[in-house]
Amino acid sequence: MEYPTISARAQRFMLWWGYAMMIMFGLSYWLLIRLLPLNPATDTAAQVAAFYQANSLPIRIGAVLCSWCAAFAIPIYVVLVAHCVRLEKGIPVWSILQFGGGMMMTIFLVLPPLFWGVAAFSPGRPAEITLLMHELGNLTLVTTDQFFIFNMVPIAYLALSRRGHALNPFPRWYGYYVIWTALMFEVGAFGFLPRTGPFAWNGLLVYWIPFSIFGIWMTLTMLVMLPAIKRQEMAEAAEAKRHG
Amino acid sequence: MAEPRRIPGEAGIWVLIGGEMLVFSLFFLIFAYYRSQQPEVFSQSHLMLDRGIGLANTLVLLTSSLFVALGVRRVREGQPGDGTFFRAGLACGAIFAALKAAEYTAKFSHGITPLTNDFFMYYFAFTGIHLVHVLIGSGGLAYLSFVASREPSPSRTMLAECAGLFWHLVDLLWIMLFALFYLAGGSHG
Repeated sequence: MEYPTISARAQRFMLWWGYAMMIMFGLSYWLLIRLLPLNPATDTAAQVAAFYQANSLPIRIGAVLCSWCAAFAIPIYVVLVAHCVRLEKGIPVWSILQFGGGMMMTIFLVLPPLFWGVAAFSPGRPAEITLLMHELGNLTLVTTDQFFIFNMVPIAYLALSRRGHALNPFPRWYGYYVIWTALMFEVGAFGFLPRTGPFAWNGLLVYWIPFSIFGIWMTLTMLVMLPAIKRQEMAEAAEAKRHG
Repeated sequence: MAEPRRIPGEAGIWVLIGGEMLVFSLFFLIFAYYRSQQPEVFSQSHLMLDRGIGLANTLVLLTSSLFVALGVRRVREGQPGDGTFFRAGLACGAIFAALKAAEYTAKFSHGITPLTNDFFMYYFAFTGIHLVHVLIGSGGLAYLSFVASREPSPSRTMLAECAGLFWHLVDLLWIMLFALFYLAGGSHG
């Protein structure tokens, strides 16, 4: 079964839309919410409350901006799934799994700014309540690995199993990189355990490495998909020429 | 005429293997750093690990690597394989996982958890992550045990080499973990 494709122009638009929103998300998180990196997990309730009292307005403005852009990955996954379905016959189960996993995954980038925004909304409330929202936001950001696996394994599988397929947009090294990314993301769940060291929520293995790898993955995806869209465009132009 | 040199598997798999080596090297450096910060805690804690189980697991994985290497050689030579070597490697992987589970259970039953101290935090985390690698590698070996019975082809060879490389990586990483936690876990270790 041959699946129809999304036009090259629409795909490029969706990719750039997603990436523009990702940059907006990153800047809001960094400059307004000011939790890059996350505050130490050893901070007391009073220290956390003081942080939200001192930064209440910028955090809430950051939460507003993130309300608009935190689901930035959706158009990117639409482009990915449009290419994945062309690698399958019949019901495209791997593509569906990839898309479903990707959609669910976006929720966990939407929720943390929401929780931080709630924490900053009433900074005068009892400190323990603000601490709870703060911890919920931070742990939602770093430990939520539930859906990544369903997004990444299908991409890796399709990248590696459709060897020589003319429509395969993924280089083989990309398939292996996605496997590695999936493995590294799983470490994030350890953020529930210690409060200090590399497994703490602001630690090297739970925070810095997964987020660096995520950034690299998104960049590589862009670098892989743009040439694939170009190839699709050229193939379609050649096909149109053949049919006069 | 000598066979032209080529890298085993394919170029892309080395992205994964290189990434894994990098991250586990980082694990080892982190462990070494924290051991230097708390020599007494690490020294006492590493004596609480069961070296017998650690050594048994090391031998089990080394044996599995031998089986896998023999299986891959049969595939590379274009022999009609029957997957026996890969199934033997898989059985070793299962023994490793069972021993690890027994070891974790024993630790938990003695009240030792990842929150006991930094040594056990790293012990459970690093060996747990390694165990996930063992399970993934076992999946690869299970798949290979079917692929081995297919007609010889370049793709069959490539698959066998890639899964074999990953399994050898898992083995190598365990040897490093064994040395780090069981043999040299403390300043007096």
